[in-house]
Amino acid sequence: MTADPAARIAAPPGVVAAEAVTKVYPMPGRPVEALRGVTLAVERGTLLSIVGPSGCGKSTLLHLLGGVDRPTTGSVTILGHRTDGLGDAALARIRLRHVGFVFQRFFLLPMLTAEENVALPMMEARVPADERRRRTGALLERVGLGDRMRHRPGQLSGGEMQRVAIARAIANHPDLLLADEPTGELDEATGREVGALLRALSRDGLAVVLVTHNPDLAALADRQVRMRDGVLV
Amino acid sequence: MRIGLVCAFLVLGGLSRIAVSRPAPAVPPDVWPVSLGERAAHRLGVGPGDPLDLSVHPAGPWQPARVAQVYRPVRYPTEVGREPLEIRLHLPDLQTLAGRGDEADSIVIRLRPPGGPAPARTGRAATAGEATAEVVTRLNASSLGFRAYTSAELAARNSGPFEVIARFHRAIGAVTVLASSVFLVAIMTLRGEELRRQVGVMRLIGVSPRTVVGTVLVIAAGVALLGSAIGIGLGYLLSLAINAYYRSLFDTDLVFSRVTPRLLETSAGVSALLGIAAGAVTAWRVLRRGPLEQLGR
Amino acid sequence: MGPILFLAARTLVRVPARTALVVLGLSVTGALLLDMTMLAGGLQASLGSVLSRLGFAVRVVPRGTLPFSGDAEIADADRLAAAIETQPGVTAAVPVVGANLYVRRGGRRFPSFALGVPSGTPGAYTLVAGADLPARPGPPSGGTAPVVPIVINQNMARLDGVRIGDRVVLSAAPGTILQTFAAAQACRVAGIADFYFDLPAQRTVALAGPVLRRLLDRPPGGASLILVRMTDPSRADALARWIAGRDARVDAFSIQEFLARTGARLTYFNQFSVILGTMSAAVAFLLIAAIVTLSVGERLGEIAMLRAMGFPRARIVGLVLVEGVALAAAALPGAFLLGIAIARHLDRILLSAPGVPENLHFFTFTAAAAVRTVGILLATGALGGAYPAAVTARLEVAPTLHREVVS
Repeated sequence: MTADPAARIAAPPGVVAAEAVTKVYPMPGRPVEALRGVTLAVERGTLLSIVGPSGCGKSTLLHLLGGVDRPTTGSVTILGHRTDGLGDAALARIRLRHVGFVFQRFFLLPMLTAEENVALPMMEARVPADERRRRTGALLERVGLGDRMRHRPGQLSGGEMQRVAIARAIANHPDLLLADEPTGELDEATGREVGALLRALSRDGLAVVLVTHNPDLAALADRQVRMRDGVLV
Repeated sequence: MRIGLVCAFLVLGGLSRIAVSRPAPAVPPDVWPVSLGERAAHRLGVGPGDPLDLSVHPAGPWQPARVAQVYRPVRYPTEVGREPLEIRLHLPDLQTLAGRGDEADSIVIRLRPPGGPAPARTGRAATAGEATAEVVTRLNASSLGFRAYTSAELAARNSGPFEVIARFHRAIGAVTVLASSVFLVAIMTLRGEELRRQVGVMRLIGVSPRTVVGTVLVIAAGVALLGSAIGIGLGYLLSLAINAYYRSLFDTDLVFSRVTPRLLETSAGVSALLGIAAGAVTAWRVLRRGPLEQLGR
Repeated sequence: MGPILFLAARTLVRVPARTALVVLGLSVTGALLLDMTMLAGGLQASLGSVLSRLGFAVRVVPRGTLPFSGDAEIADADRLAAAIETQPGVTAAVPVVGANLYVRRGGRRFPSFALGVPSGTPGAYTLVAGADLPARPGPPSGGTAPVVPIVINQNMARLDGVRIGDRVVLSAAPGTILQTFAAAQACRVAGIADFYFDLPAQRTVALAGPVLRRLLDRPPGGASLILVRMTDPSRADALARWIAGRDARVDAFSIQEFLARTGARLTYFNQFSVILGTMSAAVAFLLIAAIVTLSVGERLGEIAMLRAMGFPRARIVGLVLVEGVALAAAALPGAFLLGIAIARHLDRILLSAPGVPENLHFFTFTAAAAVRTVGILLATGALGGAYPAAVTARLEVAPTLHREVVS
C-alpha cells in the first residue's frame, strides 16, 4: 500500500467526499488551523487509512467526514448531502442511519449489557423489538461475542469491548464506518483481530476510514493517505 | 365570649396608651362620652367630638354618644391576626346599655405594696408576689362562683396558643434538619466520588492514607461550615424580611422570627458534625479501593 | 421516547447507593412539601367537610358575628325561620340557641355548653347511644316540676361518668349560693351524641330550645343562629343573599362563604405553608440539579458518543430532563408515606391548641393537595435537570470526544 500524494481518489461519487475543507479553531492569541484545504473521497467497499504524527489533524478530518463537526470552509458530502447545509437534527439522522463510529475509548455505556449497547442505535431508529433482538444476536455472533451478550462492559476485556463497539457501529447497516485509533488501547494480538474485523467489513461493502498510528493496521488498508500539519502529503 | 361589632368592648384597668388629640367639646348629660380605638375610628370615619349611636342590637334601640378621644390600644400577642374594633365606655353606661345590671366579665385588682410586721411563719416581710398569691388563694377559696388568677398565671394560660406554635415550629425544624442532613450527606458523597481520581494520584505518589483521610475530612468540614455560614446569613435576611412583613401585616411590634446565638451554635455545630461524618464515610469508601482502581485502571 | 426512558432509568441505577441517598433526601423534602400543601387550606377543607356532613346549606347569624361567637341574638328568629321555609328549595329552617350553663350532678358542678334546638331536629348532632330529644315535650309527671330530657356529649359521659338515665340539674349560675337566685332545671339524660365542634374536654348538652331560653331568662322567639336545610345546595348563595337583603339585622352565608370568612383568619398558616413549601421545593431543586449535573459531568464522553451515534441534541436534552423528573418521581412514594406520618404528628401538636374543636384537622389529605405535590415535585425535577440539560445542549461533540481520549 502506498501513500497517495494526489490526495483525491478519483472514482464515481463515493459514500463521503471532502472538498477543500479547512478547520480553524479560535484560540486565545493565534487561531489554530487543524486542516488546510483537504480534498478526499471514499467509496463503498474501500478501507482507507489515514496516518500521520499526533496533532496533524487526522481525528479532525474523521469528525468532519462523519458529520459530527462542520468545516470552517470547504464542504463535506455524505451520500450526496452537504453537511454544511444541514441542521443538527438532519445531521443526526444521517449519522444514525448511514455512519458508524468506533473510538479508541470504546465509549460503551457501562450500565448496559453488550446486547443493550448494540441495540441502542436500533432503538433510536425505531427498529421493532423482534427485529432488534434478531439483529443484535447476529451482530454479536459476527464479532465473536455471541456468548457474552449479557455481560456488562466492566466484565469484558479491552478487545471484547472494542468488538461490541464495532457491532454497535454497524447496527443500523451504515454505509460508512469511521474508526479513530480503534486499537489504541489494545494489545498487539487483539489489535490484529480488530483490524481483521474492519477489513472483513469493508469487504462486505462498507466504506471504512481508519485513523491510526499503527503501521501494521494501516497496511491492511486498500488506500493510505498521510497527513502532516493539516494537509495531505 | 367576644362581643361583636355593634356592641362595645369594655377593658378595665389602665391597659392602653391614650393618644391625646384635640379637646372635644363639652358633652350633654344624655350623650355618653366614649373613647374609640384608632382602628374603629378609622373604620367609622370619625374623630374626637363626632357623634355616634350605640346599641347591643343591630335594630336598636340607640344611645347617643360622642367621641371624647381616639386611642391606640396595646396589641396583645393573642390578638395578632385579629382586627378588633375597640370602644371604651364608663362601666355603668355599658352595663345599662347591655341590660346586665351590675354584672362584669372580669375585675382587675391592684394591690397596695406589701408592708406590716413579718409573719411568724416566714419570719420576713412578704414579697409582692407572695402577697398577690395569698390574695388569689383567699379569693378562690370563697364560693362566690369566680376564679382569680395572678397576671403571671393569666399570661401562662393565654400563652397556650404560642406554646403550641412553638412546638409546631420545633417539629418542623426537626424535619427540615433531617432533610438538610440527608442533603448534606448526599452532596458530600457526590463530592467524594469526584475526589476519587485525585485520591488515586495522591496514593500513587506515596501520600499516606492518614493524610488522605485528613484532607477529605478538612474538605468536608470546610464545605459544611461554609454552607452553614451562608445558610445562617440567608436565614438572617429571611428573618428580617419575615419580621418586616408580618409587623406590617398585623400592625404589631412583635418579633416573629429571631436568630439567637444558641441557634447559631446549634446550626454550625450540627452542620460541622454532619459534614465530618459524611467526610468520614467518603474517606472510607474512597480508601477501600487501591490507587489504580481509583484511576479506573 | 423509548430509548430516553430506558437510558434515564438505567442511568439512575448506575450508582445505586448515590441514587438511593438522593431519593431519600428528596423523599424527606417531598414529605415536607406534601405537608405544606395539606396545611394550606387544610383547616378549611376539614371544616368544610364537617359542615357538609351536617347537611345545612345556609347559616344565619346576627350581623357582624360568626356562629356562637358572642351573646348577640337574632330577635324574632322563629318568624324569620318561618319566612325562610317558604322559599323554594328550603326543607327546614332551624333556630338554635347557644349558651354556657352549669351542670350539677351529685356534689359536683361543672360548666357546659348548651344547645337549644327545636325538639327532634336532625343534623345538629349525631346520636351514638340512647334516645334523641322527643319530637314534642311530654306532659309534666304527676304534680312535680317536669324533668326534661337532654342529650349529652361523649366528653361528659367519659370524663364525668354521666350515663343514660342519670339525673342532673342545669343552671345558668355557677355557684350554690347564686344558684338559689337563678333558674335551675332538673334533667334526665336520654342520649349521648357527637356534637362535631366540641373542644377537647368540652361538655355539651342539647335540650329543647324553650327550656334553655327559660333557664337563661331570655324572651321567647330569639336564637343565636338559624340553620337552613335545602334540597338543592347549589342555590345556597342565592338564598343567603335573599335572607340578608330581607333582614338587615342578620348575615347569611353558604358553606363556601363561611369558609371564605374563616379563611381570612387563617392567613398565618397559609403563608407559613407557602414559605416552607417554597423552601422545600428549592432544596429539592438544588439536590436534583447537583446530582444530575455531576452525573452529566461524568458521562460527557458517553453523551458525545450518543450524539455521534445519531441521537439529536434535543433527544439528549430530553434525556437529561427525564433523569431529573425520574429522580423526583422515584421519591414520590417515600414522600407520601413520610409526609402523611409527619402530618399526623404535626396535626396532633396544633390540635392541642386551646379553642380548636376535636373533629377538625389542620392537615387534611385531599386529592388537590396530592396532585399539587406531585406536580410541584415533578416540575422541580424538570427544572433541576434544566441546567445540566443546557450543558449537554451546548456540548460540542468532536472536542469532547478528543478531550475524553486525551484525559
